[in-house]
Amino acid sequence: MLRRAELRIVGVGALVLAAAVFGWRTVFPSDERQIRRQLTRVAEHVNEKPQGLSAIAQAADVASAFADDVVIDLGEGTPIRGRDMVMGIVARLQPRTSHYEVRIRDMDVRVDDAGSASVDLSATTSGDNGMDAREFQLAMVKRDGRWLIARVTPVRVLEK
Amino acid sequence: MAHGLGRLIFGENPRRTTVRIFVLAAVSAVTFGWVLIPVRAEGISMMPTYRSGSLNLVNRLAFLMKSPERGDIVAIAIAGPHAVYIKRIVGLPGERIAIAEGTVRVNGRPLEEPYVRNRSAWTLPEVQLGSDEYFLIGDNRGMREEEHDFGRAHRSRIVGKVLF
Repeated sequence: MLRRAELRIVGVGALVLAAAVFGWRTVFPSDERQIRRQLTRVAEHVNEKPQGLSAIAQAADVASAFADDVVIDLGEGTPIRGRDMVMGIVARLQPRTSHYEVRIRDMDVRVDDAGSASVDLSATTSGDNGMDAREFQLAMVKRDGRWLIARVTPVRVLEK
Repeated sequence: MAHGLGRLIFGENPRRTTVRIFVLAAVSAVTFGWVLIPVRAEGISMMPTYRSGSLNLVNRLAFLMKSPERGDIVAIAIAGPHAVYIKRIVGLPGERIAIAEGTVRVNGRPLEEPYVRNRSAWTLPEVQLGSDEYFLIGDNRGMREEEHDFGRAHRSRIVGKVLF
């Protein structure tokens, strides 16, 4: 049987170990964790309701999550190509998107190698006109230590 | 006063009542979190069977022992189990499905659909369903075809059967 003093040492040791693991994971997050954090941050930026010049800052924040040669092919119309185009579209649509709340529901991250990963992501938008849900496939690339969105394609749930 | 209120809430045997509360809470959490999932229909594609805004329950265990059948109304996962399409199964794995002048044809034969009230002249060339694919469509065929999401979905997308 352990005595009270020994139990205390074991307890404190376990706490220190847990804190060390937590600290390590916070300071040096895994690739998967970085990607999740990055994409969650994009949704948070989209949900901001800026006005005036802050709207441009918001668009820049959103666009910074994309690679400079990103391709967003939603299957309708011309694909969006390049980070600058993303930024322009985000800024232009801001008055409309500010009425919506974007939530990432599911995220399945697969890190393929040190420089690329793929993500299956489903998101909902809710606003005055009810709710819409979509599923996307994202290709991510790691550049200068940061994970960036390189390609976005929608997943069709019901295929004709 | 406080003792009286406690007795009113917990009754003669507080320990047993507390256990009951915990059991009830646990059963409710499991039932409505995992087995019967509440979903709200958004949109008009399942009218007149379900109106937009109606609250429904999806039984996730419905297809544990048996396969989905034609005519079943099922929830199809889009964004996790809580954001789903609600559609009716009209085509089963391996079948050929087409739509001609608003009438669904299964393996070349017209499908009887008493739940459909209005029909627009939808057209879909014949598609062959895979061994794990179902063909799903809403009951409201009076709306414009391009505004109605319908088509093939893999079995793994089916979350469960819609009740009521």
